[in-house]
Amino acid sequence: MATPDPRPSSPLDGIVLIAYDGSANADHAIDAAAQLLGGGKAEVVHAWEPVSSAAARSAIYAIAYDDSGVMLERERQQAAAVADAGVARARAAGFEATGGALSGSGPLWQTIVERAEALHPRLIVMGTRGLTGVRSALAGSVSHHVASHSDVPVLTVPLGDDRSRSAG
Amino acid sequence: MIRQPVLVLTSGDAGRRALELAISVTQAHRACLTIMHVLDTSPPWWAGTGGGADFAQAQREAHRDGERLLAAVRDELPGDVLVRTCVLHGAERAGVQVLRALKRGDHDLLVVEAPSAWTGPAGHGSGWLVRHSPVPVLTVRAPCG
Repeated sequence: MATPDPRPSSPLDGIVLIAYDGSANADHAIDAAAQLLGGGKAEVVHAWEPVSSAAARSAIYAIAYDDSGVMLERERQQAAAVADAGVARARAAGFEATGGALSGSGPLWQTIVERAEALHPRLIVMGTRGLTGVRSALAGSVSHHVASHSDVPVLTVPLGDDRSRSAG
Repeated sequence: MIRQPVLVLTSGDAGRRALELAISVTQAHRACLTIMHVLDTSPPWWAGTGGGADFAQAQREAHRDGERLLAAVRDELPGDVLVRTCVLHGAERAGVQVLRALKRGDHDLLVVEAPSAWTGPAGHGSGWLVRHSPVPVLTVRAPCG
């Protein structure tokens, strides 16, 4: 991951951090952000968490225990592929994009917030899954947690009109 | 480019930061900013129970207070910011009123203070707006410390 840029002088200066998960919602968020912001520098981050790590937090560690490391390597490769797809999408949309996969020690939202703290972007761009009501409460929301924990402004892009709001 | 951003005016540090952000965006994109002040005027459970409270009068006063607040905000804005203001009031919850206004207008961005960390399904605050808004939502929270 690149060296952090200096802190922007205003909310409209500097790099944009795009949190990308490989979904159609995330693709749409990139396109919409490019249209709204007119491109510019961007770092695309695919935050991921090894299954073994998530399982440990969920108290099912024995099921997901990966002694050989094969599963972890496969996950790492998949995450890198998703990040590459996000960078390509952002470049096609008009951003000067770099980026990569990033795994942290905690939940996904925390990895994104920590990257923002290091990078000092002008804002964070995310898609939303459009979950509402009980589904939202049960499934949690990465975008909600990022918005409520980040010091940086967060641009949350909803699904387009032609997409199902319950997708993802 | 952003043409028709909307700010939902709220109080506190996060509300102030959201206002500043909305102004920056408006200036950078030479847009027209709409600032909304939302009143939740749904009658409380005790309205009409014979307690002597004039709820309609209270609503009118709240509306006047909202207009005064928006006028004060307008006076503070830089001269190059094109702005419209409106007080939303109705029997619906605040979030529903904002959604209706977004759908009525040709808006392309909603600016609002960030939701709290609590992710419960109830309530019509900014978290609810982020999940239901038909347009992208720009949120900002109060600075730490």
